[in-house]
Amino acid sequence: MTTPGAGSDSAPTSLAQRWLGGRSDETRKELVLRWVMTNAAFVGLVALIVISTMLSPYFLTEQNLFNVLRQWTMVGLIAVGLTFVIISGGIDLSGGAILACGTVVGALAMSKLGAAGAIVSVVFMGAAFGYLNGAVITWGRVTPFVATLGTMTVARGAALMLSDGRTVITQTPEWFQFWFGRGFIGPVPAPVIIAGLFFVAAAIALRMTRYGRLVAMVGDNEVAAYRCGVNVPRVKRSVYVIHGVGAALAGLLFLGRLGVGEPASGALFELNGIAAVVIGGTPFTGGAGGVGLTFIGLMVIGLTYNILNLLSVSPYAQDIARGVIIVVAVMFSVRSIRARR
Amino acid sequence: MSNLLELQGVTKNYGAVRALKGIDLTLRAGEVLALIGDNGAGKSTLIKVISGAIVPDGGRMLFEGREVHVRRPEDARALGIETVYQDLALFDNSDIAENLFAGREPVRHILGVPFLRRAEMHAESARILSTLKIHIRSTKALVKELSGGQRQTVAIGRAVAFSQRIVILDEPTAALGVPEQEKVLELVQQLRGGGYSVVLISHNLEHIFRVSDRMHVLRQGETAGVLSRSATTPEEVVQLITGAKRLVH
Ligand SMILES: Nc1ncnc2c1ncn2[C@@H]1O[C@H](COP(=O)(O)OP(=O)(O)O)[C@@H](O)[C@H]1O
Ligand SMILES: [Mg+2]
Repeated sequence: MTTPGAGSDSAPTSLAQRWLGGRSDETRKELVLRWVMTNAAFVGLVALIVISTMLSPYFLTEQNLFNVLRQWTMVGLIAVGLTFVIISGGIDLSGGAILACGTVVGALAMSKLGAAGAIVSVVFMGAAFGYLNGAVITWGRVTPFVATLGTMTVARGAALMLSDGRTVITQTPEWFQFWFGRGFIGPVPAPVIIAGLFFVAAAIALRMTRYGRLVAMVGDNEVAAYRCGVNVPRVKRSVYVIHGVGAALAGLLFLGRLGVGEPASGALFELNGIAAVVIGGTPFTGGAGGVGLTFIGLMVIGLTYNILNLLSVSPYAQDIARGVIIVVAVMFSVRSIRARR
Repeated sequence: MSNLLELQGVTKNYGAVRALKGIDLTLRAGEVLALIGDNGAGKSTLIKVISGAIVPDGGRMLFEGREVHVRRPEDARALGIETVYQDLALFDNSDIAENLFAGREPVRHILGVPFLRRAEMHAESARILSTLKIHIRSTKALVKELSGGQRQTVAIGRAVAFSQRIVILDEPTAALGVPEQEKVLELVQQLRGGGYSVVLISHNLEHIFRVSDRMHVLRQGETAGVLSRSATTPEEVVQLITGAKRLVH
């Protein structure tokens, strides 16, 4: 059926319209504006890179950029899990605490089970905390915010208990330090490769597999998803497990880099992770978004920190600048969501 | 005509609200059954029982004479029953093809992982839309970008395209303009011609008298009467809806 304003099949489309996927009733200027709005984070990232390059000669060097990537691997791993959670319509605050508990469990397991055993234990621990989140949300019918706030406290408490509140010193084998900490493959830090693989696997799962559809359906319209035969509670539990595993991997990267278990580590990582997801343009309301967007958002945050450091801005002023940038970026991404409507 | 679907003594309570107080209903093979009643009469609740969206508190359901237990939407889908719900029917942030195939996406297994066959989804969706004579330019358009009429068309298209036996339509024309309403009625007639059974909920008596074979009138969770179109009048139907008259059978 044809409806007014929907355009007809034979309406001529300009090149710009075909490129930008616009509707036939939009002018070219509106189209360009719409493209900028829907890709606000990407445009912002490019602008940030251009301006930073002009401000600091060191900014656009291979070494600096890989440094930034390595510094943000841990938040990045948590942000990947958060992308699944937020697309499914939830939220998870426990990432930083699961990371901390992971560093402690890893450090303790290292001496008893060896590095491979430590990796398995930490990943299992992360999956267990994630499953706990999912179980409390689906069976306990507690809202994600409250449930994961509880798990955040529990995981942080467990880290403090297991470590007696102290840094846990341990010996890690060479290969573990290489892959989870200091190694390089060519110019690329090994932890960046590990985090990169996690990003790519997550992007494939979300965009190309049936599972990605299930997550988006649950976040978009839970009732309709149930009516289409989707096991909604199981999908919800799965996204929290993915998040828990990502946060545990981040804990292993901390352990690889610093060689210690630290119960106070990862503080506020979950907030930077959430900021990365939202700045990228994945809407808080769920049902849409992706890991690629999260990567863009992560780089906006990471490069902002980086350029402020390179310019030797005082740390206090940096905090203010970051706060402003997060709010402005979210303002833009909220607008871009409206533009997409 | 034989009975395709039969409900016996179906009850459903929402807390203190007795939404269905023991409904008997029959749907014959190849007929259009209109389900009629005032707002709150229990129409949507009743079709949700048939489609597995809710589980009734009591009663039996027979499909081709055999008792079936429909406890989940999948169970109804497996019997060849497809439903267009009155509310929350679509995924706004998903495209048309994703909506049409929601819950039954075609996949290809690579290393045991089910990868979507997106090209097939879009090609098949375009084919579905064209056989239903639905004109939407791209199956990649997001549903939230569509007009109210187009949205409803996608919801109906999904049910019609995948139904094997029964299509249930809960107020499918409520939000539509007149030409779009006609289109839906045409579709109902096509379904009937194709041997499907249709349960149609509508408040529009003119529509109902045009396309239905029988009418099942609900009032306050009870059956007020079951009428054959050829043996009744709009006046009688209105009397049943309002409670001015009651046919006990
Ligand atoms: N989920 C629900 N929770 C509580 N009451 C409900 C719910 N769904 C329906 N009802 C009540 O059940 C009765 C029948 O509703 P419904 O089947 O939607 O009527 P209709 O579709 O005929 O307008 C109404 O009184 C309605 O308020
Ligand atoms: Mg209703």
